[in-house]
Amino acid sequence: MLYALAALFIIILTFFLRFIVGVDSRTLVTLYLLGFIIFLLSFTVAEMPTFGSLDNPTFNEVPRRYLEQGVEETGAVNIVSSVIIDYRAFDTLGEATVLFVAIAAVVATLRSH
Amino acid sequence: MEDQIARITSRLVVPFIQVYGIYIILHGHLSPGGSFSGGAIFGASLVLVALSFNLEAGSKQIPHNTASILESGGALGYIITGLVAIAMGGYYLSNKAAGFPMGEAGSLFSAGAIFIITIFVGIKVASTIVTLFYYIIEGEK
Amino acid sequence: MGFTVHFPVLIVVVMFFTAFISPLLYRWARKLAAPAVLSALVAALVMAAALLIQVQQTGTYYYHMGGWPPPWGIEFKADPLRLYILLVVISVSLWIFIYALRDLGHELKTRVIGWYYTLYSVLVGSMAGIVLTNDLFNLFVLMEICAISACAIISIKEDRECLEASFKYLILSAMGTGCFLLGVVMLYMATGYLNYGYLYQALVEAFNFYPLNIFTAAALFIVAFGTKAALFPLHVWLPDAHASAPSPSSAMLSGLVIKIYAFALFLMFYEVFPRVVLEAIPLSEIVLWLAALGSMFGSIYAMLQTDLKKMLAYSSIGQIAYIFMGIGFHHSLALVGGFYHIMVHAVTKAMLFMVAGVIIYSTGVRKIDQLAGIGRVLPVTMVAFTIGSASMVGIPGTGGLISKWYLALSALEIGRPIFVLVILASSLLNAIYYMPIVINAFMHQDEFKKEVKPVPPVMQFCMVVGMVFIIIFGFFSKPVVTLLEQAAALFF
Repeated sequence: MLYALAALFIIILTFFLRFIVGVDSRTLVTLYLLGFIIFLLSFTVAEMPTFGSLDNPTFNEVPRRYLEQGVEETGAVNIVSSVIIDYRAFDTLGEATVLFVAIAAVVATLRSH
Repeated sequence: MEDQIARITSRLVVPFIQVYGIYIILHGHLSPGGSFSGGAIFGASLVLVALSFNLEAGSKQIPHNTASILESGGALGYIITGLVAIAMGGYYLSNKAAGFPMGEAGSLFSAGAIFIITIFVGIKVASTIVTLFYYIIEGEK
Repeated sequence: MGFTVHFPVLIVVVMFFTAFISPLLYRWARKLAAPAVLSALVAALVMAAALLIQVQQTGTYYYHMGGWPPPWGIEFKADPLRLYILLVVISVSLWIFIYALRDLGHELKTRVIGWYYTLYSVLVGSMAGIVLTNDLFNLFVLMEICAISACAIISIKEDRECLEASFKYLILSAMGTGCFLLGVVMLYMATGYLNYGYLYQALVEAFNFYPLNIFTAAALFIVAFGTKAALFPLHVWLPDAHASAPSPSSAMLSGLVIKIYAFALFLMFYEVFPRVVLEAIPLSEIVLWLAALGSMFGSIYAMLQTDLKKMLAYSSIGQIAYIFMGIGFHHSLALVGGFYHIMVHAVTKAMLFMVAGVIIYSTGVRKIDQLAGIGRVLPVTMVAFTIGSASMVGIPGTGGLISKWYLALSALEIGRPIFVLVILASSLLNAIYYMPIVINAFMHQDEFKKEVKPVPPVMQFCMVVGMVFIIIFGFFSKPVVTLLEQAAALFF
């Protein structure tokens, strides 16, 4: 029953958009695909572990060590700094390289044209 | 474009912005913020000078070549800090394990390599913003 | 603790270091810029070779950044398979760079050549990192670097078409990177880890609680790597980008960059997602069918082209499909075939783009129908083209046969002979568009009319190296195949 109603709704919506609003069929297909992806992704997000809950998978030994031993192991009071510039410093080197490459790309492109 | 209000305001405000940017970079390991945000603030102050006066006044503050040399230099400093850690017997980008002076947690001169790298990245981000701004504004030159 | 333990990270760092220093070198000591990149590439090659020898003796080796063990820190993994890919990446890029030294002068303005060196070394460094890293977020960061530098080595040429092509590439590969990041977030939410090994274990349990998240992540990964590696329906950016770029960039992009992403997808399928996930949804099946379609359509599109470089670009879509087939079959022989094809196709396609570059350099001709009789004025070049085409088709005595042989063998082993037909048909299609050029170049009765500049010896040397290697791959495949068989056996 529910499925039939949903199908009916979609058919009416399609007719409305196609013939009354005048959307061309290519755009219509794109819109439906986008709608489908939004539908799928929102279901995925709804399934994610509750935000901030203590039994989240993300609250495991990883952040525990960062929080409990971070100051002692890295000497930085700012936990964010101790993660990005000590525990995962290579990622930050990568980010600095991204900036550098972006500049190099802009300069190279502008100078050659 | 000559705007009296913009010029006087920016002349007043720019030094404070720069000090604030440097403060945020230097206190990266102590307080929120750090190299990327501090560098962005410092770079924005130089862009502000160029916007409210003119491009020449802006490039007097930090010339083109200096900015692009600083940019490479900041990134090189990061890599070299990592290599120094290897030379001191740790792994690449080690901090305490390599024996960087840790200082007392919470004081300005502490956290060893974090402090050094924050400064390098801050320099790099600031000069990146300035270089990008000039290249896009001037286009072909 | 010897110095060799740091080799995995030093390979990446030495390339980044060269990239950062080469703008300064180009400003102060212009003559040193190219030798610096060259020596960095040689150093990286030596380190990779030393690592491979060491790893074969002592087994897989993990390098912990900053001394932090996973899951807290970032980990680099050096096993024979990754080091094999790494060796291919570095040696092919060294070879292309030697060619580029001579070719860039006439394709680019002098003042941007220094920046080309920068972008080139960053690209090589990021590819080495993608191969070695064992951490999802680190992979994302390196993919960003790789994507931006790959776009920039296209747009650096003064040409409207290049700008348009690289913009299209930039947008699509940014979309790919975005999809990948979304997938990483989902996997992290479901497990709390980023390290491949830890994810592999944690996903088995997490699959019971968050199946939808993990499915979506897998789908996003296929879209991300499919876009970047030009898997069939997502290939739209490739022909323009690879055809309009300067020839060394085309060789680099077609030869290496797309394969690195195919390899990354392989790592996702075999080292991140456990078998439970892959058996619950037919992910490999999807990749397999898309690859089969791609190997046909890529060749069919290539037949319709009139521009030589565009034809080679479309041919890459057909050839990358073999690598995806190797991933999709889920059989150790298929992996051997797929990985052997990474090496063979990297060398072959890079050499074919070099040939195209030489033809453009010395005659200015880009159209296929104007190549009649060119074999008599550029003999070495067209012999190289002939051997390259033979390897693309899979004629005995060239490397292309070995990879197709192993792929066909595994298709029979798992009882799906239809894919043998696909491989045969696409080889036939390859022959249909490669062979007429060869025949036309040597057999056509007309003389080649355009004036011909002499080919510089460095370029000829590079092409000869390529030819020699393709034939070596055809006749002496044993050592590499043994290495790959041992590596592939670990996954089954």
